[in-house]
Amino acid sequence: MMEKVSRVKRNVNTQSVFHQFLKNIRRDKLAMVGVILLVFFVFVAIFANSLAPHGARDRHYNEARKIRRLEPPSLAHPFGTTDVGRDIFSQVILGTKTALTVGVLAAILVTAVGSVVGIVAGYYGGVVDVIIMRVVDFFYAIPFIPFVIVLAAVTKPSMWNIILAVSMLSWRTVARLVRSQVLSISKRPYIKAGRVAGASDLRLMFKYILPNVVPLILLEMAFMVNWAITAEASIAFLGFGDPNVPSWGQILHIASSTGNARVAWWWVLAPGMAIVLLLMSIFFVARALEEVVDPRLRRR
Amino acid sequence: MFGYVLKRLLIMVLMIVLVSTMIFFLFRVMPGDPTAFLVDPSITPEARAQMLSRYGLDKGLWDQYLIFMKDLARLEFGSSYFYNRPVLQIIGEKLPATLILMFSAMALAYLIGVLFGAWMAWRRGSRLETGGIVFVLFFRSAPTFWVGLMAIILFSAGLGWFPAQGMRTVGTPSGSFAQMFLNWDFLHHLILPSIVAALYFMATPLLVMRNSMLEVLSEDYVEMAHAKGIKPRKVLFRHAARNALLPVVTSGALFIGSAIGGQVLIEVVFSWPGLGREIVTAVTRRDYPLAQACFIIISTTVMVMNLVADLLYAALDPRISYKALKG
Amino acid sequence: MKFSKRTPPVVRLLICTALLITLMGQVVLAAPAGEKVPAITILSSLPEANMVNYEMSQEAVEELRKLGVEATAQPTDFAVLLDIIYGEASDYDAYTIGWSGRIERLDPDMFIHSINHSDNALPGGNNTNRYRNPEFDALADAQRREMDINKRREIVFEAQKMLAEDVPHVTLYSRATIQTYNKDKFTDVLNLPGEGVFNEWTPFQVKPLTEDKILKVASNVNIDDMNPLSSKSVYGWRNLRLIYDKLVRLSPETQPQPWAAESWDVVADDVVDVVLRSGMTFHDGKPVTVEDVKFSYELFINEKNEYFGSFLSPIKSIEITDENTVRFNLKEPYAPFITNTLAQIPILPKHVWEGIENPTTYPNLEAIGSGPFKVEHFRTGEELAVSRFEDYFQQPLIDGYIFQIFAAPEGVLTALELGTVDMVSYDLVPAHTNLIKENAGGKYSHLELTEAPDIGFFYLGFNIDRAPFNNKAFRIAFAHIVDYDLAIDVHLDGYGARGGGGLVIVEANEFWHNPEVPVYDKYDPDRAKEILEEAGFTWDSAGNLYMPAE
Repeated sequence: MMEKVSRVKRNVNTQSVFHQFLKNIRRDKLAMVGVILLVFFVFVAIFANSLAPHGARDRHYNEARKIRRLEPPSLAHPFGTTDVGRDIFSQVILGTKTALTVGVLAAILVTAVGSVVGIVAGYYGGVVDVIIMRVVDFFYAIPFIPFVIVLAAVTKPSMWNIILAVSMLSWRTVARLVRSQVLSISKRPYIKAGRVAGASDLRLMFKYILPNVVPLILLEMAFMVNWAITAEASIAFLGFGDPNVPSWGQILHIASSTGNARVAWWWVLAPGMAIVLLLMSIFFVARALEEVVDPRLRRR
Repeated sequence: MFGYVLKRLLIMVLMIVLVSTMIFFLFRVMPGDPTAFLVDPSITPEARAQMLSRYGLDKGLWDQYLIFMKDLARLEFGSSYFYNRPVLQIIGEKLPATLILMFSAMALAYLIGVLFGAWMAWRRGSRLETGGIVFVLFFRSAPTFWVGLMAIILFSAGLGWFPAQGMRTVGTPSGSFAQMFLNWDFLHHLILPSIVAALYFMATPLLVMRNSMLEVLSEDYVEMAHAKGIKPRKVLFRHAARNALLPVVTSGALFIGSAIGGQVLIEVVFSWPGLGREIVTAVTRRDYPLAQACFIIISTTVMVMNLVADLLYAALDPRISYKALKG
Repeated sequence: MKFSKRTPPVVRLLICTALLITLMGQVVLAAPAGEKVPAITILSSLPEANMVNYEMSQEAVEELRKLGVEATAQPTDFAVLLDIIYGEASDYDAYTIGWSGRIERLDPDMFIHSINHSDNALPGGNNTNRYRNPEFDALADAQRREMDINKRREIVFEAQKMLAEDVPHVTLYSRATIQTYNKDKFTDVLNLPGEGVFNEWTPFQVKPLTEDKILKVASNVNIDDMNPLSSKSVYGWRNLRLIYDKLVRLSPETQPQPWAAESWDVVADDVVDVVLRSGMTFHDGKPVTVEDVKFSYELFINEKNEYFGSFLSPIKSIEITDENTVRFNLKEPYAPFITNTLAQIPILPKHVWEGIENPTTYPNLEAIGSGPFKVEHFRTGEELAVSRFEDYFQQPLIDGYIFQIFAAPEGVLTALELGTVDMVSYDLVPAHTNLIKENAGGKYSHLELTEAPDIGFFYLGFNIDRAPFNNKAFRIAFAHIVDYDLAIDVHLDGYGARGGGGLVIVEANEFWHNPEVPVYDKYDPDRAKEILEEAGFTWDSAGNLYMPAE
């Protein structure tokens, strides 16, 4: 197996990790921008229902009782309107909630499963490891988007099923990375000492080893948030998303399937930029974290 | 080495059997049978039954599965319900389009990514580096389909520089592979989708190269070269970059595997007649034989590429023995 | 309340007393009489499959809630939807779907008999509304056997009236067939109802204006294969019927006219003689004979062809009566025999097909027919190119055509803009229609828009086996909560025709449409409430709707 991240050499103290992370953020302008943007998006997501001036499906009419069809951005509708006079601004705000819900829940699920599996495989080694790694290989071999489409058809297209599908096929990455790091950690003297002292496997795994992989897990979690948001948007764009929940991918899907994408640039630009900004902010924050995990990247 | 590869291949066969089994049953529990989608719903119940029996779908699930596995062992994937032709023929027609688009995008991404990654490591801390990072992360954050839509709005619909869809001008006569693919018309259609895909791919080689470069640059022999007064550019490309390439190469092999399944978005946005689009329509049409074969072929490719990545890693890095690979 | 004349006075009195007591009970106890109206789930299309159906289902749900009925819309994949409404379990309340306006559906049999006769109200049958009315069945059977077209028309009118009053479904809208072509390169393009601009007559009517005499047609729907026995898609057939010839064609005015047949003769109600045109050849130069005709029809019957199954089932036997004449003996009189059966079944070369072991699974990539065009190449999912067949009895005005397949309408529009395609074969989405109409950016001045009404329709169907749809008043009330104008004005951007309760044969099908229907086609939620009240529906204090007392 390829050992991508196996370079953390010392026992990382959780507190110092956080400290280092904060220091990186303060020093790194990009990370600072990332944090501000991210806080903004989280705020919008939490208060989406009160922030959105209109319902996602409300139709708007002008003074002459004519539908506001495909209006470019204006004061009343800052991101313009759709072909049936819906407010894109409200849709994008409500979509933020969906994006972050999917991203965060999927990431938690993925990292939880992936870390436990990775720690167990790396710690026990031997047959357990071989079997687990073959299961990981199995999940690596399944093409993602086609699989999610099948799953969406088997179950009903809903946000929860998309979270589940994304998680089912993504925990493998985390498991693989965590395992290879655990492999190198378990060889360290203090783990051996703990074992000799009679510490239980569970205790060793979660008290001694886990803290060492936490930074890596957090980093992977950040990447998984992004991956899950992209995946949800892609599935919705292909038309297999949850039609009853407003999401960025769905806005783009409707813009392009109704044939309005080429003219109504505001309809395409707003949800797309929302995805880009949210994902970039997470990447920027993750970079500060990455420097903690991988000290080589630290500034000289 | 031979033993190792053999063992991996055996495991791979087992994996393919498992993946195929899962796919088979997944499709069978999927609601909706092919007759509903293939024919107008106005057919009589008798005609529907007749059709199901022609496709062998009237048999028990277990019997269907046994037949499926037997055929698979003989590498027979059956005929597509929709196209009424052998599945392998259809895939054979679609695969080149997908592979060409994918490899040209990857080549572009790796060429630019590696060069700029090395350069960014070299210029660490500069404003240009920050700019570069923002650039690649922008395109890693932006969904490919969105970049594709924007590119079409700008360069096809707006400026008219590139065709917006398909891979050939309407009415190009059928001919040999060279006549079909090695010409300006095809290239012209290829440019936009491959750049859009490359922009997304680029972050991986660029960041891996940069990080790996940072490590190499801090090693002694590079410092030595500096001290010897060798020109910086020569140090960068002759000494450092070469050694930093290893992780990039292995990440590339792994990437091919995941990219082939993810092509579908680019293919949909650019109406590219490839395998990715075919698999989506096969699933929605409940064209089981075609969808199953696509899944199995993509899965196999991923597995082969994983093996290649591991072998490359071992071949390129003398510190790794095959024993260490057996994790 | 109406009583039929046969109701005995005693029974009338009893019923009236019962009603009075019920009414009083309601006043005194204010307790609803019947069961609470069960929650309704409307299975709708996914937005990408049919945006308007999806939107209209959501609207219907909102209106139902206002009436005090619990309702949800459940967007469902098309294949799954078909599986549910045609499935064994029949587990559904209501759904939205549509019948496309295929040309053979100009004949009223499909929309009257097939989707409304109680014989078909079983799992797998087309009467997915489970509408059962013996009086209606009698009319549906009679129109099918009536070989006199005017008498048949009267029966069809009566049947339509009955459907409009019983409301087995609510027709939401029909789409307009809006298509476009390059007027700088081609002229005399005809947009036919149910067919569009790329129809059977296109090759014989379209005049090229430039030296480029190859018509390039864009499609956003894939064509499946070149085997007439296994091709299952409308778009596949739009091409196959130009490669394989047929005995009869429907004229642009939709009247049957002899084509590969010189003439036909209805000898008796159940015997039809067809005389073959002489001197025709297949693309490989061999002559077309009555043997080929008999062979083709028998091949389709023996192979149990699904696509044409209902057109072939009335045939009892086929015999060759002389060197140019084929006789079709029918099991019973079948009015659509000439307009549907003879106008649809293609003539296959016996010398090619008799040697093929499994005709239905034969790929047939180099299709040999006797139609006006022969195949040049067919690249699956990409394009079909055909050229003029020099020996055809009526020469097309174009040298050939190329049918190109696009993944999405977006690509087609660009190709139209750049002039790489000349014509579309599907209905433009409203956004593209508007772009072309407004000639946005001056890019579309070479395109001409044409509009024709569609004879198909989209509807909201009920499961009449279930409450509340088993109650006719509820169905009529439902017809009053659908905003027919919203569908047209907002969701279709004006490009369509209004629906109405129980509408099946739309105005565009001029000959067969009964101008007195639909009866209920006004959006009037207040009236809907009144209808429910009059029928004995009640509301509790929380505003929930209850069924009338049994």
